Amino acid sequence: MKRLRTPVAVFLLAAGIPFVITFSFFVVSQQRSLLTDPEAYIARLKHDGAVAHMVSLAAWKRLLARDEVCRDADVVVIGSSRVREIDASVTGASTCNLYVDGLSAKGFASLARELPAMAPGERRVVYVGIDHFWLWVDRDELDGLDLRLLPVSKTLWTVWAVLRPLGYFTSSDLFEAIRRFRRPHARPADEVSVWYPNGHLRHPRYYALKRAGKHRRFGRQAIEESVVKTFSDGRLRPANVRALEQGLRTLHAKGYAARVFWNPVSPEHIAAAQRRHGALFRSVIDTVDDLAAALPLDRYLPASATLDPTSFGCTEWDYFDPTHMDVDCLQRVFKKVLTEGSSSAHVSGDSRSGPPSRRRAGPAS
Amino acid sequence: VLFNSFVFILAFLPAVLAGSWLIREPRRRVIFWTVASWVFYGFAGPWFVLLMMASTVVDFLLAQRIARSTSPTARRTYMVISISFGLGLLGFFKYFNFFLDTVNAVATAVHGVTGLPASTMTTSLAIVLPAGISFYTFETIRYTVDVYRGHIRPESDFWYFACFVSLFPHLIAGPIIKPGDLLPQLHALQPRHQWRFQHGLFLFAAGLCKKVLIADRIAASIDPLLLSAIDLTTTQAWLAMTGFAMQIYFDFSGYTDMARGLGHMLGIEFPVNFNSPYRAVDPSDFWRRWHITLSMWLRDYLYIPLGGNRRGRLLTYRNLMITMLLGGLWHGAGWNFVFWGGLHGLALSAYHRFGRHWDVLPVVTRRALMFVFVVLSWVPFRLHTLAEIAACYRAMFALDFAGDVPWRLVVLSGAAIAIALFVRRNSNEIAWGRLGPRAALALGLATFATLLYVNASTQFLYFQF
Repeated sequence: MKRLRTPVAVFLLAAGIPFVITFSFFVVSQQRSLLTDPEAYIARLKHDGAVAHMVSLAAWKRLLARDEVCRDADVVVIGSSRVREIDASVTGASTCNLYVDGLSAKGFASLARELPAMAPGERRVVYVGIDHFWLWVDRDELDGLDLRLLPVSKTLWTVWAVLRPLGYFTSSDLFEAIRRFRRPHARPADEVSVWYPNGHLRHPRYYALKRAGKHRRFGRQAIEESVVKTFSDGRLRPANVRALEQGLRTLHAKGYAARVFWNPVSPEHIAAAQRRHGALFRSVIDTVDDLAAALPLDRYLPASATLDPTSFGCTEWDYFDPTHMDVDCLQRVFKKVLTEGSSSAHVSGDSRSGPPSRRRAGPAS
Repeated sequence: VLFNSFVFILAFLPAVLAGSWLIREPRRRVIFWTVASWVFYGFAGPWFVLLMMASTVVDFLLAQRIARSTSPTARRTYMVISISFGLGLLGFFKYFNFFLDTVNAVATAVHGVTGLPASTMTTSLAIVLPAGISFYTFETIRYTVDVYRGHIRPESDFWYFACFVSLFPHLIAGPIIKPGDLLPQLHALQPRHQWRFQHGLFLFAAGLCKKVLIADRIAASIDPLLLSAIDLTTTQAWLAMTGFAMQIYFDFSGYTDMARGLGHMLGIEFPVNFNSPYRAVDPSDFWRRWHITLSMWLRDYLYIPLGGNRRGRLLTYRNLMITMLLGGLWHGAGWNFVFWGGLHGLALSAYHRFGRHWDVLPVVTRRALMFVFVVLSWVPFRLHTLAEIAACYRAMFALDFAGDVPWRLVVLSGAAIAIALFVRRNSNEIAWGRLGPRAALALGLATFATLLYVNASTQFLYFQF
């Protein structure tokens, strides 16, 4: 370069300075989420009872799995964001919720490894809510760089934590940060999301609106989008099937009674998924059915039992969005088929009563 | 790593530029670029690199053999082996499942009609298409054919040839480079890195803005509409397909601008790939303006070897149709792409036959009609099932103006059309290296806005081809 000519400098300053300012504003305004290490976050949750910000889910849940909160709970829940609201009000027992957004089978296997082994004679139930995408998302959420840096160096972890938003930061994050900055202390009922020490999440504003009779309807476009987003890159990966098997075997070896179920999603989502990706949709269910039949599970509820929430009396009023059922619906599902006192009419596998049947059933959509 | 990602913009590119600046020995710089390109490609899939290396080694050795052989039969044999190897890889990775699906569909149809047992070959293999394979295969085929024809001498240094195949700006989605253009530039590298930094940086930034601010914003509006293509009204169908016409143009030409800008930053000139295609006044003109390097490849290595227009009218139409049908198939393993190619083949043939009558029409009329034709032809390119394609065409001519008008798309597409059709100079014609501070300020602010959307950006459309 002969010399850095003025237009280049003007360009770099015009593009760079505003970006550095906006990005810095975002990082500073979100520092509680970005720069709080999971250990401090767990301590904060225990102290405050609930907070309206969240740190790296995978890092938090990995530590939580070994924390006393989880060790003392009667029930452990593992799954994607679709199980995020499950707590004691759903399971009927003290609950540790290890949900991680977009969890894959590989992430599930890692979480299973993190859980402590049961003492002889001790018995704890672990609810595993599986989704179709478990069998194709090719990543282990618990194998992130931040999780590897944290035990090595807090400084390196902090640098990484500052830079990490470059991987997702967009204008909408900026606008959300500005909104929160202008209204730092929202009333609890106005918060969009609140996290609790046992790992679960609740959406106060959603429930306030629901109680007030206001509910957002989801049009056909939203349904189709949810299907495309979930299934478009999908293909059954043998490595994920092995990870699911490995995770379930690990849970059994550690003394957990695993109750595996398909997370309920709206029937419109099921119909659109079957229409667009019917072969993949069915092959994932068949694969998990086959796997469950060969594994020592406490219970396995096939897709036909839990995928369609309408069979539990849930209506569109109970859908947070096309793929997330709210806690009112989840309570019905658990009460009917998953908790101790529930009917086992839908159960296809019970290791205590002999080998499970190899049932193949599609969702009841 | 995508060009439109912070990893590329803030880490990969500065590292490559710094290395280029520090490495004074030209051959070492070529090796550095090659290894950097392999790293770049490795992000897409580590085994993709091995596949590309295999293709590189095979074509490098066979081209040497072609040049050394004196026997015409041996020379021809080596060329055929080289082309077969390249097309074999392409055929397996890109078209094998398409072939199986087609055979199975035919078997099912025959079973339905005749009652004969339907034999399903297999469901499909889990084949992942290596990114950029269509592009580098065409480049290596061109290299061996050009060596065979005696148009170029074979490259004697493996690293220079490997750099020609893999240099990261053109690796994934072109432009499709001529070895006779790139190899001499690599050999002419000077000890002091000769870059055209301002030109390259500004062209890269302009391409980034085209992709992220225009193409991706339009995509965000049309993708939801086209998810339920069977429910479109006339207004929605025309808006969606006009929007797609703009999306694919700004996406692909934005990518090309970024690739060419990166070339300038490395001191390499890559060929122009787009020249305001929607200003075309006839089908021939369109293909001289749209994906120019592919058009030239198809002309030089398919249309002309088939006989071109030298053997009478009917054979010319046949050659045009074969070229465009295969050109369509090159874009993707699906009958919809063949259909798209067929539409353009028919248009080219019709223009060849009736061009004299067409050319007397006013320029504005020809341009408008050509634009409408191109928009209509994008339907099978964008929608993949026969039912969706038929529904979209039906909606376009059903004169059903009920339903919501997506105003956001109207505004976005309108702005994009204004830029594509009416801005006087396109990105090839702007002297980016001579822009003043005011223009630099405007481009810088646009780039800032672009950076706020980079993480919401999607993969380039042509990466899938």
